[in-house]
Amino acid sequence: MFFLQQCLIGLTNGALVALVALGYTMVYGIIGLINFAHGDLIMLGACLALTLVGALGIAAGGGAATWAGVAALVLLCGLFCGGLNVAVDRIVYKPLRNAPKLAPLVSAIGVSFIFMNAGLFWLGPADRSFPDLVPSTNLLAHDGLQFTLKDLLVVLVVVPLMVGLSLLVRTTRLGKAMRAVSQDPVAAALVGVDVDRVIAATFFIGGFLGGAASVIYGLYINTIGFQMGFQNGLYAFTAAVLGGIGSIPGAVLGGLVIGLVRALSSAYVGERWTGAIVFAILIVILVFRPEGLLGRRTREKV
Amino acid sequence: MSDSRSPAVPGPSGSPLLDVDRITVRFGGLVAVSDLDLDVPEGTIVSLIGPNGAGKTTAFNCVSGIYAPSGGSVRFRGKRLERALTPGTILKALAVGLLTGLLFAAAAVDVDRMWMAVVKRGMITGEPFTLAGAVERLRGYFRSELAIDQMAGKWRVVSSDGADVLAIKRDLAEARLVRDALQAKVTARRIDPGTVPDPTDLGPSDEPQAAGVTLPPVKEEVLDRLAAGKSRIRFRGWSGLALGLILGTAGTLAVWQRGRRSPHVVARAGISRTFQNIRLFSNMSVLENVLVGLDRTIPGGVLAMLLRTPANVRGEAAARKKALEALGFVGLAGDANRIAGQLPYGDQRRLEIARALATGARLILLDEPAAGMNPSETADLASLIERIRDSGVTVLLIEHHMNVVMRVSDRVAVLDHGTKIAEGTPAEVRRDEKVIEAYLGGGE
Repeated sequence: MFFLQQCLIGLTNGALVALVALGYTMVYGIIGLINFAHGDLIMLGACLALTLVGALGIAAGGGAATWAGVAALVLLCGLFCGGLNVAVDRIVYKPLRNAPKLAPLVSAIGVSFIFMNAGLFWLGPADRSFPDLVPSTNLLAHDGLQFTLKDLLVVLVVVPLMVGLSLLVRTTRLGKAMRAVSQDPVAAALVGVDVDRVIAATFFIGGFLGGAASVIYGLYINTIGFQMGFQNGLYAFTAAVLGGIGSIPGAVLGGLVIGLVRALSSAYVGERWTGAIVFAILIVILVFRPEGLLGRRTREKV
Repeated sequence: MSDSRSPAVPGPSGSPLLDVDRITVRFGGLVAVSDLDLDVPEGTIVSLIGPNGAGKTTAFNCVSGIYAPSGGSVRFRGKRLERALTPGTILKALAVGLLTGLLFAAAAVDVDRMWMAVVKRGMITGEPFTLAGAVERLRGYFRSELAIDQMAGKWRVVSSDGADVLAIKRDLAEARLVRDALQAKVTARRIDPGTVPDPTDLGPSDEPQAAGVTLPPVKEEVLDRLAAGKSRIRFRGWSGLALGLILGTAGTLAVWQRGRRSPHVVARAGISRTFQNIRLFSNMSVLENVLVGLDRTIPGGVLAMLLRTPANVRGEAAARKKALEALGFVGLAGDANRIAGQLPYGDQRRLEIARALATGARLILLDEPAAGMNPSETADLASLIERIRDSGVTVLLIEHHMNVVMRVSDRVAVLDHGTKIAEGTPAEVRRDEKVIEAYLGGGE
């Protein structure tokens, strides 16, 4: 029973990690850039969420009003992070599109610092507590097993977003254009695909998912701070690499695996070993499958 | 017309569809193509031949917008294939410029100290935060007025940026009086003899009210520095704004200029191509490969795609039909649902041609389509190229298989070391001495 409980916790946390990991993997898939600013983008989303909770007067326990407030938060923070991500792409990465890969990478690190300082300015140096809008009521009749309203919230937000994303990529022509650009941007441009727009759309979608994740993070973890982007970004990036960076199902799987490993290792080994265990598993998996769990072996491009 | 210098005569259908006018491409010190002139009349097949490294593919890359030529121009239907400079572009550049300018200005006036003056000091002196108060303090910062803050339980009279401490008092009211008196002294110093007083300097608090207040000794040079503070901070702010505006606008325009002749602009204008090393989307199905090129014919944005509006569904269906037609044209209709990367080599080449044709191109550039094909496949390809021309699409061809070139071409241009050494009908080129020399006697 204890084991099952830890698995539940792990999967819920993992879903959150996966949502962030999608932002890394999509951007990497389309322009081969590890967007180090993604974690800090999510931190800014959480800042906005905190400000909006005050500005919109969203209160806990209000039934429909609270849920509508949470939905508005997810939407607004998603739009904010998506828009900010597109703006960063336009201003910082787009001029470096034909530069060596290291140039946008270093710029991404720079953007990460700018975001972190903006967050420091916004939140102040100390951690802030995020209002507990959704109570931790247990939804299961069982005594030993807990699945709270909060966990349900994570599932309710994450699952539709992921289903929507996979529909978008598989069935729409934007998704087709995204797959084409990720395989060969020059060939895609030469058959008339506006590569910059497709890239902007990818940044927007990645940012939107991150913005949604930031709200859920605030509601679920209840503490935000200007440095939260770094650690969460690192775990999400690890998840993306573990699943096979560039692969969307891979990011989801990687996120769930990381969540499980974190929960189980803090339960059975000790919290302080969690980081070490996660990265040890990452190394072992990458030794045997360098392309990640679901990644494809990249072909050499001529 | 720009082709007055060009030696080629217009083809049977009138003025050339593609007019390559003296283009030169350099990579560092290496000249890959120099002064190349080439006219492709509508409805013809023109071949570009020459030994390896002659600059044929480079010329193709120039036409399709992958490289920008270092000199010369490419015109398609009389137009240069570039994004037009619209007012929207300029407005966008100005908006970015303004944003950069504001950031630069904020940095130049020291945003940290401004924050301290506007928000933090108000909190220290215990005033409730109001917007009007913040604006007043912001203006005070730009007027470089003396301010009060607190350190170790005592009140200090400081310069607006907090760099100079002029007096320390136990009592807040006394500190305020000292501040006002010192401010009056500083303000008086700003007005040099013979200049008109700046109206923004004359606030009600600036009138001397030194009754009962003992002013601390302040050095003359400090007073001078404080008096100069206002013009200094304004100068910094404005020059930061101006510099940022110029840099931001110019930078945005420079980036725009670089991406002006991008491949997709060229493709949408009606030029499409295939590659020497096949560049299909190999993980996608054969049909999807062709559909990518038809995407822009389907109306509606992301929302329409997800909601499947009638217009979107009709567009998708029409695109599908067109894609299947293109596949039928090259003889791949039966393979529509296979994965592109799993097709045999020759079929991949034909799929690439179908993808290029489906975009609705008026001119198609084929880069060595017969490479690696056996004689029977080569013959099929030659008749495919002729059928393409007969369907009204003009063809520009790079090819090493001389039997294909000699059979299908209306005109042949020969490149060697980046320069055109001959041009004419296949029969003329075959007899040309320079061509025979370039190929070391190997015509076919």
